[in-house]
Amino acid sequence: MSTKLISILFIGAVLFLIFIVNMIRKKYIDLKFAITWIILSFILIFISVFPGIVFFISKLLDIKTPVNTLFILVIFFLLNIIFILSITVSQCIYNNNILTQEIGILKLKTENLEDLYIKENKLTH
Amino acid sequence: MIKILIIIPAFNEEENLQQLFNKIKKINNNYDILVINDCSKDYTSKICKDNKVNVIDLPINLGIGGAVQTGYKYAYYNNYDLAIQLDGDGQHNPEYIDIMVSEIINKGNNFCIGSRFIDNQGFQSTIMRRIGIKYFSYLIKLITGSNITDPTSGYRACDRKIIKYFCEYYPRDYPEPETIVLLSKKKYKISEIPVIMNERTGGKSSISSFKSVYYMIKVTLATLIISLSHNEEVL
Repeated sequence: MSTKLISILFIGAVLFLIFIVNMIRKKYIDLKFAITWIILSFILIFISVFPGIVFFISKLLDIKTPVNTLFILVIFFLLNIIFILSITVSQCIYNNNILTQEIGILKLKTENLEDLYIKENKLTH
Repeated sequence: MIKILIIIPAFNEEENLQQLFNKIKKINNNYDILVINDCSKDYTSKICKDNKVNVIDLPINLGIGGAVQTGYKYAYYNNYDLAIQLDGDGQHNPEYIDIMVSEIINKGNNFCIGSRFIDNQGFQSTIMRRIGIKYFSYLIKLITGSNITDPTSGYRACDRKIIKYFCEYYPRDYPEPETIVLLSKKKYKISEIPVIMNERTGGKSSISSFKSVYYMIKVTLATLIISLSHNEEVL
């Protein structure tokens, strides 16, 4: 890992952190999900300040090029996030189902009430 | 006549609600009560209807934040002057409601919290939780300068300005400390009164020990990020 890569990583991670915090502040993203991205940016900043960690893990896992270790770590992290998002989307779809059904039932109720009101007051449509 | 709404969020509280309603009715028959049934699986809703208490049956479980915000929206749409938030598990005693109302109406505060830790009487919660609460007190003091002894208390009262604010934004998980920081930032006047709380008699609490750690990290982060916002004036 060259010093060029490390500095790009550092600057990128810091900018990303600022961006995420701003998104949270403006309420564009929920803190619950943003936490994972905040943790990622802190890890990246940490790695760019202490690249020795990546070298250490590379030796541990018998990986020849340390950049590959960085790739594996980030890919693993991304897989986690995507999986969690899949779960979240499933829950959203499920909740949408429930809301749609409730609205359907409420619509029928109000239509019936409307008809009843019209009938009882002998109004014309 | 000042319109006061008591908001009671409830999730599977069939064991505690009847006693709570009896206590409230004994003190004052004229408060408007609204129970937010957060998609309970038990007879929470039925008990409310049997007692002729207004209940909103949410079709999806939203958690404490979403449930209580529903109450604030109802309070806003129905032009209530004051909203009091009370837990559905029987830990909060309704006899302090009049004092909290007086703190807002007579003393000019916007927000009043019922704190266990001013007189340190009654149920004081577990040691772990007390340490957590002290931590939040300290964090809030650091960020906002306000001295709040019980930042996680769900026993709180607020006026119309805050009811309107909560309609627009209310945090979803663990809202109590975060809302205090938000209100402080907006320069609302917050006061605390001493209350005695009871231990939960029936049902289960919704915060486990693992969730407590997540709670602390999340609220710390949220507080730090809020502190980065520009100081906004009270409307």
